[in-house]
Amino acid sequence: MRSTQAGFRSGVAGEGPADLLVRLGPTVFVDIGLKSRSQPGEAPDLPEKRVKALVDTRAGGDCIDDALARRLKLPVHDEGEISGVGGRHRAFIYTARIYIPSLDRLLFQPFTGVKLYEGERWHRVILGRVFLRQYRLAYDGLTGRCRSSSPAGQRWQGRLAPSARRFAPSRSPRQGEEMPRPTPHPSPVSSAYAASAITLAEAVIAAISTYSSGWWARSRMPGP
Amino acid sequence: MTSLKPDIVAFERMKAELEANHLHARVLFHDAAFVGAFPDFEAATVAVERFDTGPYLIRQVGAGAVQLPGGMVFRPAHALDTGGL
Repeated sequence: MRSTQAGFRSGVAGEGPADLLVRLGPTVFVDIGLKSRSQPGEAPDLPEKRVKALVDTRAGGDCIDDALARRLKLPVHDEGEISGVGGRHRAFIYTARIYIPSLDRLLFQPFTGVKLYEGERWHRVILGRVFLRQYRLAYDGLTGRCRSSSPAGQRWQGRLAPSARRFAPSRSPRQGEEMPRPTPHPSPVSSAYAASAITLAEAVIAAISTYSSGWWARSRMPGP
Repeated sequence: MTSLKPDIVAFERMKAELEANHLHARVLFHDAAFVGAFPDFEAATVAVERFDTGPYLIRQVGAGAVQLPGGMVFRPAHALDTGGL
């Protein structure tokens, strides 16, 4: 089972980790691009690294910031229309590779372009329920502990093992154990929050061990 | 921004045939010509290999609206009431 943390390690400016999780939501770092520069067998090397991605159960599909997609020159392969309370506007669908290092998962798929930067959102990518279909999301805003169940239904409880980035049932993090701090990403919203993001878990994405070998083989293929 | 209009026009012209023979498949169009139908997003692998950054159209036949955060909905151009063009 592969897992990653998507919560907040500490608070910022009077807000605790639980407050940040409420306000910002589960977040993972991802790398983005069209073509990987890595050699076969190596982890994908995409040009834009450590981009903040919101794991959002309200979203059906996955989204990318329009400005970021244009800057990375991602190809537009379809278009359509976004409608909501703010009216409707034209939207584009981009082809992109997104690599989630902590899950060692490479996505190559369509992403709907949305105006996250213009909207002063903290994230530049939204991973929705299509992404979550491969995962189990355990969210505990109270304690920072995580709880999940195995694919077979066996329950367990414990904290995360940050250094291993894996679940460690009944194991507490070693005292003084600390995860590397994420690099703040330029944002109109204060980047101070980035310094506290994504280490000990309020939220955990646990990969259900249902990766088919076929999917795995495809995802590890080098970029064209 | 590159224009997808010729490919979209070609898709619309073939829409009935595609829905009959390739429902839910991802279809690839380039230079206003049908390139192929694929069961998944493998269409993009072919597109990037052959046409790099395009323009090309990749569209799922029969795809409907996609729910986005904040109550927003994305509708593919071919699913719009106006015909999308």
